Amino acid sequence: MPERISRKSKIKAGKKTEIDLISLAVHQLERPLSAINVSLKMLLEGDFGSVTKEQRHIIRKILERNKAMIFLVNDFFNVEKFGSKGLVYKWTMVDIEKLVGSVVKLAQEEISNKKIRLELEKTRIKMPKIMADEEKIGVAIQNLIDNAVKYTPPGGKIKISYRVKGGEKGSRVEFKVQDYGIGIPEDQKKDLFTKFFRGRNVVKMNIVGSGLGLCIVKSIIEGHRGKVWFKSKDNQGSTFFFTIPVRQKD
Amino acid sequence: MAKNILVIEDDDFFRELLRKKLSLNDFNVLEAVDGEDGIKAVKEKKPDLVILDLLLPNVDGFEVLSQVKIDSAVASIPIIILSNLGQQEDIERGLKMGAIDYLVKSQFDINQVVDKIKNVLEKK
Repeated sequence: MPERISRKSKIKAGKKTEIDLISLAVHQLERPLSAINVSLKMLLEGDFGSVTKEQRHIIRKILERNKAMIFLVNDFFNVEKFGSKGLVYKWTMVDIEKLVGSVVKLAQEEISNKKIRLELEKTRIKMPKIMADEEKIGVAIQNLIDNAVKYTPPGGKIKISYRVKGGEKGSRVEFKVQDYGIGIPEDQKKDLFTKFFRGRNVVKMNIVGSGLGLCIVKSIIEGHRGKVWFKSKDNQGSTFFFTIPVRQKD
Repeated sequence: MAKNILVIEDDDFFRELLRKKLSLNDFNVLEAVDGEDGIKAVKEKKPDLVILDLLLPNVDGFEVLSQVKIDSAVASIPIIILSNLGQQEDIERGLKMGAIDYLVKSQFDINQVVDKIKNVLEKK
C-alpha cells in the first residue's frame, strides 16, 4: 500500500500533521472494521442476493464480534487521549464460565488448523457470577488465548483454567492460560505490557501482531481492580494469569 | 435522469460497497481514489453530490473540501463527509468548512447515506 507508506514516512520525517501517530494507527484499524460492518449489513439486507436463515444467523454473530472490536479500538483511542479515565465500563453480573466457553469457541478454528491440543480445566465448584464489564473481560481473555495460540507451534498444547480463590481481601477469580510455545526472552520480560512492544523472537519469526494486546489486557484487568502477570521461559512457553475480585452487585 | 454521485474514497472495498448501494438506489456513481483525483473529478464532472473520505492519499479530504469551496464553479455542490475520523474537533472542522453532513464510518448505517442524499437532492 504505497500511499499509506508515503503518509507514514511523512510522519516519521517529523513533518507537522494534525493527525498524530496513535490516532492514525487507530483509524487504520477502524478502516477494515467499518467496511466489514457495512458489507455484513448489506448482506443481511439482501443487497447481494437472498441469504438463508443459517447464513443470517452467522452474519449476525460476525456483526456482533465486529462491533465489539470497533468498541475496543475506540476504547483504546480514548485511553490514549484521556488516560485510563477514558474507558467507560458497563458493569453487569457476568458468568465467567460461559464467557470463557464462548471465547474458546472463537479461537477453535485456528486451534484446529494448527492441530493444537486444548485442555480446558473447569473448576468443580460452580463459579459465582462476578461484577464486570463482560465485553472488556471477554477481550482480555480472547487476547490471552489468541497469543497462546499464535505463539504455540503446530501440534502443541495449551491449557486454560479458572477458579475462585479466597483471601483476606475477599474472593477473586483467577484465570490462567498456559502455552508450551516460544516463550519470552529474559531481557524482554520487563517491556511485555508496554504498548506496541513486540518480542525480538516473534518479530524474527514473522508472527503477525500489533503489540497492543497485552497492554490492553493490563488496562482492562486493572480497570477491574485486578492484577495480571506471567511466568515464562524462552523456548519453553508462557503462562499468563489474571485475577479480578468477585464483587457482588451493590 | 439519474443523479451523479462522486465517491472520493481510497479504500477499494468501501468504494465497491458504496457503488453497490447507490446503484441499487438508481444513482450514477463516479469514483476518485485520492484527493488529487477527487478535486479534478469535482471540477470536471460537476456531480450532483460528493461523498468524501478524509484520510486520503496525496491530498487529504479537508484540502479537497477547501479547494472545492473556494471555486465558485463548484462551491455549491453538496458534500457529505464519510470518514473514520470521529472526534468532535474533526466533525466541527468538516462542517465549518462547508460539508453539509458528517458521518463516522464505524457508526453509520449505509442506508442513512442514501436517505441523506435523497433529502439533499430533493431540496435542490
